[in-house]
Amino acid sequence: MALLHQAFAVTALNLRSIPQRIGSSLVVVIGIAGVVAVLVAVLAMAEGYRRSLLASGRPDRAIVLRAGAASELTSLIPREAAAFILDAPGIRRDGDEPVASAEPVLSIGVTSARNGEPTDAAVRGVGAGFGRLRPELRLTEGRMFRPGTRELIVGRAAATEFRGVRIGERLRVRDDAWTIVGHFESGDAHESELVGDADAILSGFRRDGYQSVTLALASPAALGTVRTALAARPDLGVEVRTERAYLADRAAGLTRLLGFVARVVAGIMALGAVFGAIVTMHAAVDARAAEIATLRAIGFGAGAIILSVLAEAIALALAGSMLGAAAAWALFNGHAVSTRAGGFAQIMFPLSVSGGSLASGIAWALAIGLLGALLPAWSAARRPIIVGLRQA
Amino acid sequence: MRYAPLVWAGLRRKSLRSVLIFLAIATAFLLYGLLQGVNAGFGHALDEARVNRLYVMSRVSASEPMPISHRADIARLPGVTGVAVMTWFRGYYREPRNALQSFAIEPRAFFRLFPELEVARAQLDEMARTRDGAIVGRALAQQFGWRVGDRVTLGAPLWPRTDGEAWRFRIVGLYDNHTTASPITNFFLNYDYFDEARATQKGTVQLLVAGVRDPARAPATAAAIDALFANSPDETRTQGEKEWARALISQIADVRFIVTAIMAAVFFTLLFLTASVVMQSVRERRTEFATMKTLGFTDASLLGLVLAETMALFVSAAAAGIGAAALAFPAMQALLGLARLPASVTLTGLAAAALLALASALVPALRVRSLPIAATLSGR
Repeated sequence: MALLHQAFAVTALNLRSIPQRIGSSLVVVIGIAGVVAVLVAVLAMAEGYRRSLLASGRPDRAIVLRAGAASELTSLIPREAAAFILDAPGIRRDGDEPVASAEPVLSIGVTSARNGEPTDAAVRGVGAGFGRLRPELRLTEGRMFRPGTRELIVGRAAATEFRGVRIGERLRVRDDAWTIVGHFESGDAHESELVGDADAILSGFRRDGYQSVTLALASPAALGTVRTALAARPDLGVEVRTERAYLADRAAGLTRLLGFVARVVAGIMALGAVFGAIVTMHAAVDARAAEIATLRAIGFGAGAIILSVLAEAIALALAGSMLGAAAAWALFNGHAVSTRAGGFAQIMFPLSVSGGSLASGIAWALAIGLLGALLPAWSAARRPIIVGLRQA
Repeated sequence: MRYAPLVWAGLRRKSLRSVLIFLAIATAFLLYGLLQGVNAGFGHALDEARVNRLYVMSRVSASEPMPISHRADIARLPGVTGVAVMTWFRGYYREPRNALQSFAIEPRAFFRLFPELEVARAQLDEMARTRDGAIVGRALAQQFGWRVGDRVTLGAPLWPRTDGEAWRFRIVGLYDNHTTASPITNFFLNYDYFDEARATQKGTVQLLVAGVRDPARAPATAAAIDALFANSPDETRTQGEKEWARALISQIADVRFIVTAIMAAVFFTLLFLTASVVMQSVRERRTEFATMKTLGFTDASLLGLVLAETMALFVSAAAAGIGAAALAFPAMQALLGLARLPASVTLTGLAAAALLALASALVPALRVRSLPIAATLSGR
């Protein structure tokens, strides 16, 4: 088609002459790079948090919390209720023992290794069945704690984030000293925690209730069986969900907030970038007024001119988005963030620059480029040829 | 002032471009206002912290229970004016999503120690008389449409009651706080009622707030409090209100760093844009400037003219952007934690705008100053 053929030719001409307008072209590229970098970085935070939480979720694991509790922070399950839950049908059994763990979770004051300030670390007590319940938990150093003793193992992220949790070191709590005997990794949010024997923690911290009960389902369909059994005792006031559903809900709050922040901040930056793009594309078009007029005089259609200006803007936008995405990836991917996120204690997770956020960044960049070039392209095509030629 | 029409004419020369640059700058400063507002919101908690209050918590962690008998021991120390109890209720209204900042307190001791929380005397008396009474923040009451006299039921998964009933309260008063920019959204309930009805951790509190007569003696008093309970099963850690606030803030995230990084990226890009535009505009108006020099305008005055144009554009656009941010604040106060944009943010913003204007226009302005008249007019 003549239009496309022309547009292609003019675009090639435009792109070859960019080095003459390198200053203003760079403005568009850098402006868009900034927007994309910020968008991708904040989305990386949301994605990293979500992945870290969801990594724990397996379809054949379920978690029981107090009804109405959004997380373990606001949940309390008394001993008798926990005993009843552990006996429920539908739980996978290893011989006579349920593959399940009634867990108290609390926080203790520790010192941050980052800045020496006091901070809180999450301590989780686990039941005897937890090894079969969480096979993804592997010791990397030292040994497992002995049941009933004041011993703890420390997750990988917690080991770097807090002071005084190396193997052999002790944490003083009331009259007890808790000894760190091992480090573990599990590929999920539990790496931010210190883990010990549930009964030892209940007695050491003078608690008489658990925060949650995690159990392995005999099969993913067994969830219904467990639910029915628990519903038969409404006085217990507990509810069961798959681990995945629970974690997705927990992640939802912060992820939604970060997504909102990313869009608002990047949105405002993008608006500014559009204004900037309009100004520079206008300048680019003005600088080549004579050239454009000549092209139109020799027969290139207005449509081809418009398309070529848009194509130039898109090329610059793509370059900007590559630059911004590369910067975000290089600076942030894998970088560890530590935040309280409305929980007991600090949770640490790595930023994760995903394909989805990169795609978002590129889409935004293209939108900015197109919006910026629309007005100048239109005015370039509409300016009377003779006016343009006079500038030659 | 006779230069004002010239400045205006210069800006109007390519009005579309001026408008677009104005909008770009305003947008950048809208972002600045919002982000710096978030920063300031965190800093505010530090500024508002009183130096005559100490926060006593368990050495184990902030939410660990302490025996309520600690209160009497602390109150006996010299220099302590009063002790108030607090425990986090962590209640929600209707849905877990509507989590409330809720605390079990003893009304008289608490409000005496927190005089910035303004509540009518009669309502305070009513609270002390009514076991299930509650005093709530005015903004919180507005949010849910509560009025004094209403009965509300809160969910509190953390505190099951011995009788298994729901936690019901009657709102007997509203409180205000005019010293803070933070939202007024706390829910205070009676500690006695709470402790009697709850099934767990009876006779304990999570936090004790001690008033000190002489702020200069606050650190010594804090040490004395901790010494009281050292080597007991319930050791304490006492901090002044500022350190308490700082600890809370530093745990949220390195927000300050993130905000600074974003603003640096934004301003850098903006500078790039405006510098190139001013440079181009000056280049276009070479002949005009040369003509003006012929007419008698001094080199210095033309330098000033270019600077003044850019400065006027920048400062007015920044004011517009920051103004828009200030308008957004009341609507977003739940997110930002502040009800209004602090004046310090506005002032620093305008100063930043002036500096950016200077940075953009300096080089072009110097070029104009040294513009050779004859060469320019003859088109070389």
